[in-house]
This record gives sequence, structure tokens and C-alpha cells, in this order.
Amino acid sequence: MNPPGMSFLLFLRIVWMGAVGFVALGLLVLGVLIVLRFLQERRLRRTLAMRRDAHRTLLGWVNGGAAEADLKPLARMQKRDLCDLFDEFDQMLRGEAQARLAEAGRALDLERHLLFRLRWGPAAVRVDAARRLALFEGPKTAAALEAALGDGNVRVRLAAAVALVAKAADAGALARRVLADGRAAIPSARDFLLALARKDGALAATLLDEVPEAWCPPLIGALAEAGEPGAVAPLARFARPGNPAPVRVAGLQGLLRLRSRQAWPLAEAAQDDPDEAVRHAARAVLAARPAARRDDRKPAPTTNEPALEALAR
Amino acid sequence: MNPLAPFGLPVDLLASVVAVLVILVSLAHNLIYFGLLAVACGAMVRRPRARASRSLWNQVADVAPSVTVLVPSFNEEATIVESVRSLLALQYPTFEVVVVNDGSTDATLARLEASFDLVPSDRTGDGALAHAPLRGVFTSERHPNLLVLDKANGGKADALNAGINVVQTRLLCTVDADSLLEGDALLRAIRPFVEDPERVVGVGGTVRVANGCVVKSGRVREIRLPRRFLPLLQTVEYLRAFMMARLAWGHVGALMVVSGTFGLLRRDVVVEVGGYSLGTVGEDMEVIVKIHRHMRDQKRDYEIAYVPEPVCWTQVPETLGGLARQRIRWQRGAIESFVWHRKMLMRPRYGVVGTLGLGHILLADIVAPLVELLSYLLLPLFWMAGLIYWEFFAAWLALTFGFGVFISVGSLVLEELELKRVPRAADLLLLAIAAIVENFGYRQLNNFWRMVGHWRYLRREKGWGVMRRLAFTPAV
Repeated sequence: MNPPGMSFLLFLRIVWMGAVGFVALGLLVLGVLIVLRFLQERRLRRTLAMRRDAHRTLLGWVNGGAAEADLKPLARMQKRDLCDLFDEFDQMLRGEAQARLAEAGRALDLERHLLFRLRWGPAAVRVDAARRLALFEGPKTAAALEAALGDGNVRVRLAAAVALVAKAADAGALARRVLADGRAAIPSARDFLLALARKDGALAATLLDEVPEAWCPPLIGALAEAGEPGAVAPLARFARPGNPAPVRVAGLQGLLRLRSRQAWPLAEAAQDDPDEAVRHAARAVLAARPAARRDDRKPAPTTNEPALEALAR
Repeated sequence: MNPLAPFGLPVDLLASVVAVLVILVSLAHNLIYFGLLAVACGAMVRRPRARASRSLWNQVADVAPSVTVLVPSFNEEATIVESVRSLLALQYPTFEVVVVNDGSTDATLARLEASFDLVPSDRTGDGALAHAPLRGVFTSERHPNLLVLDKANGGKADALNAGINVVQTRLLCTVDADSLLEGDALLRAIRPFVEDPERVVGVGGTVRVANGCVVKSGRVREIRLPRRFLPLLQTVEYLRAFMMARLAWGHVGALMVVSGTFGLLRRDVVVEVGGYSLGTVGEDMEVIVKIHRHMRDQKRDYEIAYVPEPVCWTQVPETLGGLARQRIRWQRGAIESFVWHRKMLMRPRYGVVGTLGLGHILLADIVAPLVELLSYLLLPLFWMAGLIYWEFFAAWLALTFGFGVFISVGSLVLEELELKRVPRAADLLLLAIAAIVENFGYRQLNNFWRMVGHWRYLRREKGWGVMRRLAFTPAV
């Protein structure tokens, strides 16, 4: 045998020992997970009845048919399960029933738990905490969400803004603060823009003239999605030639969503636009136009022969 | 005696050189997988928590674009009705299902006609892509969003191209006829398109093994592990491929394949690249590599994403013969795509796609199987003959088997930590055992089939071979 360099032999030893170490580590972690799963399954069997009861109790509470003492069994639930249960209810409730739900959350220490998670959790947990805190009102929560507007993670900042916008006294100031955040122009901002458009459509329409160009398409989309009728005029303005293609596309799509007649002439004019995305948006608008208005519509063929020929080309 | 002594070559030196080369290739291969596992862990931890279907519907339904689900089918009489029923029952605001019967010689079309009351339709396509002649276009009286194209046989790519011609929506979703989409799969998969409609051109979802699961009315009602050994090993393979590799490649922007079993693509982009390529058996990989190349040639900003939550269940082969045909075909597809796009390799203009993406295909799909197979023969021989130090042999064993187990176990850990789709703890234990066992025999068999794939590619063999479809396990 030719003796290789000692350093190479050492390297080989590190390789095999490292591989063995990794395998042992992987198997250990998987073993722990399997044991945890066994325990979880056992716990789940035990707590299934408890969850059913918790659902019934909470339903009774939000309907005003249960006392605070009845909520006690819910306090024994794990906070993660409790959060999921509250999420489920929060999506279905509005007005007074939602306020009762918040009251239950406070009584069960859920608000405090979420405030803690908003401060100390990893980014994904902080985002969830901010989103869930939208249920709660009060100075402590408002202050924590305000503080989260300065979080290092842009998704947390946006989630906090969404939670704040519905109850903000000055939604304009909040919106301007978010829109001035150069790093916030990401797809997740859609939730904030939609919440803003739903809270104050007129304000959102005004902001169209103030914000940098990158914000225009998502803001237009949010206005249209919120069904804000006052948005037709600004949307038509942005759909006109002369604006950048993404803005025009958003304008046309917004008008289409609002089912505004103003979209038709703009779409007809955009059919031969040099930009493919604009042409595509124009085609979508024209395709959705009521049938009687479509002058290019041909009579339907009586057999499928032409279809077959065209397809077989 | 040194058999190479007459040539003046020291055999122990040659053995050491071969061993070093084998170990370096294996190390590079395993380091890539290690990196992928690390990236996949990071991506999983950072991704937003999956929402319940109802919450997802509230959030996405209003803005979800219309989608056409394309189902190419060839001799799928065993599963086609169940699959189409499952698709028609998808939770999605607006969608159409287009089944393309690619000249089946069994009762595929008859079963569709009988089950969905098909009548002739006058629907026309735009003729954007060429394909074999059509024999009929049908719609369903009971399901207005079902369209069936009957055409002469031209292969899967040809069937997809025929379907694309009649697609009227911006997005299309390809689904294999022997697969079942989960009810909310489209809702989950559409999210990247909703969030960034201009950049995202393709999205892949997770494909899982349906063998053993209980299916009723086109839905997986109860997730169970396969009862047979071969599909069980494939369950681990699919977990590794999707939970680790695709997730990580998608995260670094070098996802080279969106499975034809379940993937969404933008129709305009597919048409721009000329549709699915004929003459390859790996049309799903080929179209994605073409899209990467096209977008990067045009310097367009784009993304091909992978979303782990949407799940499509598929039947995997239960016999060695069926599995061998599938793996040989996959190998030929990978080599074909690599050879057709080899000019992208290591070219700066193709970024991570040319370096990491194609580089990985070259290393993992083309070089590594050959090196690994040879190493099974040579390294034990060298060691037993006393030609190499034991450290070489130990490193080779650790890299070949140890890392293999680690990567499979790591994928299982990732799955369990983040998705928890394995139904019971006992099943997890069974999968853990399979993750270890697959490295001894099954993995070597796969490498052998890959070599056969190489050989058949070199012999320029065409066609898919015979495939036998299995019916789904019905609910009792």
C-alpha cells in the first residue's frame, strides 16, 4: 500500500465519524419525535372530549348563555389549542359576539400570552401573535402593536399594521407610516392594503396619488377587492395609456372587478398595447363584458366540425 | 502479485486513486443533500403557518384566478372516473377540468362517457401548439366545467399540448389520471400566484403515495401506509424528494422539475416556450428547464415555487417490473433534459439554474449512480486485497450508507416537525425502519435501473413502456 498523507487519513476519519455521528443524531431526534407522537396520541384521545366541551362552552359564552366560571375548563387547554379555537370563532363572529370572545380571551389569559409571544417569539410566531391580537382592544395591546410597527421583521410590522388599522383613530397616519416603509412593498402587504381599503376606501383612493409607484398596483387591487365605488374614477385614470404597464394592468383588473363600464373603452383601446400583460388584462375585461355588447361575437357553430379542424391544426 | 506490474503501474496507487475519486464524488453528492436538508429546514421554519381550509377559502377565494386542470390519460380505465370525480369536487372558486384521452386502447373514453353523460361540444382551441389529430370534443351535461378531448395517440406531451390549446384561463394545472388531489390542494397551491401574479410562472405541490390509503368518491378518506414493501420504500423516497429536495431547490430558485403529477403553470409562458416537448419521456422536467432557459435568456424576473402543503395522492408501482420501467424512464428523461440544455451548465447568465440545478442533475443523476455502482464492486475488493487503508473503506461505507440513512431520516424529521401527515406514531416508526432498510438493496437496485436508463438513452430507445394501473383502495 502507498501511504497517503496523514492529513488525508485524518480527513477520512473525520468523514466516517461525522457520518456516523449524523446518523446517530438523526435517529435520536426521530426516536424522540416518535415517542412524543405516541404521547400526543394518548393525550389527544383523552382531550378529545375536552375539546368538544370547550367548543360548546365558548359558543355558550359568546351567545351570552354562560358565566365566567364556566370558562374555567378552557384554562386547562394548551395555549396553542386555545389559539386555534379562538381563531375559528374569530372568523365567524362580528360586533358584540366578537367583543364577548375578546372578553373570554382576556379571562383565559390569552391576550397576555399573545403579548408575550409578540415580544419574544421567532418571526413566524410574532406574525401570528400580531394577527391574533387584532381581536383585543385596550391600551396595552395597542401599545404593543404600535411597538411592533418598529419590529425588525417586515412581516411582523405588516401584521401589526393590519391588527391596528381597523381600530386606528388616525388610519391615514398609520397608512402613511406603512407606505413610507420601503421594505414593506411585498406581497404580504396586500392584507394591510385590503384592511385599509375596507376601513376607509376614500382615504385609500387619496393615497394613490401620494405613494411611490411600486405601491400603486397592490393598492388599486385592494380598492377593487374592497368594492369601494369611489375608486372607479382613480382606477380609470390609472388604466389609461401613459401610466406604467403594471399600474395599467392593475387599473383594468380593478375596473373589471368593480364591474365598471368605464373599463370597456379603455380595454378596447388597450387590445393592441405593446405590453403583453396589458393586452391580457384588456382581453379579460372584454371577455367579461355582457354578451350583447360584444360586437365581435360570431354565431355559435351548429356542429363540432370547425372546432375539430381548428384544434387539429 | 501486482497484475499491473507488467505495465509498470503500481496497483495499490491506482486503487487509492480510484478510492479517492469515489469518496470525493460521494462526498460532493452527500454535501449537496446535506445542504438541501439545511435549506429545507430553514424554509420550513420561516414559512407562514398553514391555515385551515375554511380560513384559506375566506382569504383566497375572492382573488383566486380561474384555473384549468389538465388530465392527460392513456389506458386509465381503472382510475379515470374516480380521478375526474375527485377533480370536479375540488374546493376552488372557478375551474374547468379538461381530460385528454390520448388514443387509449382500453375503455377509458367509454367509462368517461357512461359516468359523466358526455355530449359533443363545439369548443375550439387557439391552435397555439401542434399535436396529433383530434377525434372528438365532448362536454358533460351534468358537469358544465368538464371537457373531454379524444385524440389520436401522440404521447403525454402531445396530449398536454392538445389540452393547452383549449385552455381559456391564464393558469393551467397538470394532474395525472391515476392521482387524486386533496380538496383544498388548488387553493393552497394558488397562493404564490395570488401574492405575486407577475413573477410566479409555476408552482409545484407535494405528491404522496396513495397505495394503502382508503379512497371514497375520489377523496382520500383515511391516510394509511402501503401494506406492501415496495410502495412503503417509495413512500420514504417521495417524502425525501418533496419535503427536502423540491422545497430546498424551490427556495434557492433552481427547482428543475414541477411534477407532471401535480403542478401549476402559466399558460402564456408554456406557449411561449413551445409547449411540452415531444420525443422526451421526462416532459415535466423538460418544460420547466425550458421555462428557466427562456426566462433567463430574456432576462425576465420570474419564480418557480414549491408549496409543501397542497397534496396530490398517486398510485406508485407495486411490482419490481413496473418500478423498473418507471425509474428507467425517469432516468432517460433526466439525461435527455440535461443533454438538450447542456449549454446552460455553469454559464453565468443562467445563474443558480445553470450552476446548482443542472450541476446537480449532472452529478446526482448521471455521474453518481455509475460511480456508486462501480464502488460497490471495487472498494470492498481493494480493501480485502489490502490495496487501500481501512479509513478509505470506512469513509466509503459511511458516505454511501450512513449519509443515505441520515438524509432519509432527516426528511422524516422535517415532515414530522412541520406537516405531521404521517397518520400514527406506529406508521412513523415503520417509515423510520424503511428509511434505514432502503439503503441496503433498494438503493442499489435504483442505481442499476439508472444505468439501464443510461444504456437505453445511448441506444436512443423511445416510448414509455407498458404501465399497469391499479384501482384505488375503496372505503369499506
